Amino acid sequence: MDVRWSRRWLPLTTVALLLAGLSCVRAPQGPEFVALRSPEVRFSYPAWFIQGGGVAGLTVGYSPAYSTAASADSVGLIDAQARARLSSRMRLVVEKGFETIPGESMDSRGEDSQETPLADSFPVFLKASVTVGGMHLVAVTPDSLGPSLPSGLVTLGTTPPEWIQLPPPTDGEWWYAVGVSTAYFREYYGWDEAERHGRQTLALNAGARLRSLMEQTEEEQRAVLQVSTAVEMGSVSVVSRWRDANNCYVLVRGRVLAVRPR
Amino acid sequence: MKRAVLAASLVLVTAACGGGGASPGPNPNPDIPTWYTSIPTDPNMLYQAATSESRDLQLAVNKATADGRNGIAQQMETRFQGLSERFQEETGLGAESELLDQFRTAYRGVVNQTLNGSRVSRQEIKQNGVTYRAFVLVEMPIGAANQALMQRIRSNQAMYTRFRAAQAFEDLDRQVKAYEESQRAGNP
Repeated sequence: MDVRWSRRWLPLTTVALLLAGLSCVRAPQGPEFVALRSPEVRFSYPAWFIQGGGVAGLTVGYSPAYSTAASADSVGLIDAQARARLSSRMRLVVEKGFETIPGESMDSRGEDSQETPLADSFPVFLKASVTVGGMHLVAVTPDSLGPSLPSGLVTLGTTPPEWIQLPPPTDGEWWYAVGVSTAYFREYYGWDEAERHGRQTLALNAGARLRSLMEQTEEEQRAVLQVSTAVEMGSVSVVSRWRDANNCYVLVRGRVLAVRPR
Repeated sequence: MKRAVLAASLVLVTAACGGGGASPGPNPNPDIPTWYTSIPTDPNMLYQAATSESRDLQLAVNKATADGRNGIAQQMETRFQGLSERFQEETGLGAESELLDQFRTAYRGVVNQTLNGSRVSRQEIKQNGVTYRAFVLVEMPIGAANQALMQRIRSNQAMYTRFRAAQAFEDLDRQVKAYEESQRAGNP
């Protein structure tokens, strides 16, 4: 072999072959299901939207991203005011039903829920607003001189935060629950739905009535399950948020004031 | 020496491309969280693991959680009935007869229970193409722990009742009503 050729090309050839080899390495026969992990899409939001849990009385309202910021602010403010009133004190009545139909590999599910504000309306003060993607976010507090909001942007990591897998336990005063939702094209629908799901879960944690019927033979199984509750809660707020390309997640907390499972 | 490096690289490439990854991992069931099969024990808690799959993540979590709560309720009180049906039919005569004997067993379980303080203490979500599988571990405090929790709820309720009865709230009520009256007077 020519010495000059080998000095110049042998290291390059070796590296190229090694890289080619690594690209050929197949993953071991992996699990059918893969751990939840966001693809390369990275999402950025204002810090007060993601980590607003530390700000007392903070409520976020949603609006479509209108071309005129004042219009979006005004719609978002009305939404925030309604949410603040609901969060302050509410009655939540939930009923969910599940049925596994015999002889079919099919589940039938339905739910009925109603959230009623129990507090009187109170004024809220606009602290910040921002347009992110297709939605407009409005931050309000019940006090014009209230605490300052966390500043800056937060870029969400690709690994889910710990509270999704290990929801915090209640400390007696505060109850916690995780809410999830599909990330809809209109993004605020996804966050709104995740918050609603979180409040439902929180209510069912406090008190849940279970009624179920299970019939099983050698050939088939039939199962009907109903879970319902009626709970009064107060100071309900979003502590933290995370999302990936497909779903939105929120950690909500609140005080349980009365439990009356139906 | 250089030829040896080149040869070794070729061997590595061949081995890497040909290897199928049959080497077993440390966890024999990586699909399933370890806590799902090794459920914790605690004299003050009831635990129930459950799983469900759906194209919608919220539905998968809801069903798994409801199943988990139902499992807890079953641990507390379940009315199980063993049912059996037997159907016999004989056709033909004597040694030529055929006996058709169908024996059917069934189990029926009914649950009607209220749970206070049950919650998902662990959950793991796995994705398979367009579907999600949610694994949850539902726990519920029992005995003294549950009594303490319920006492806390009752005291929260009592505290709010006292707040409603307080002078400040009455003042607020009066002021709001006065404001509403003035609004009505100004805008009939």
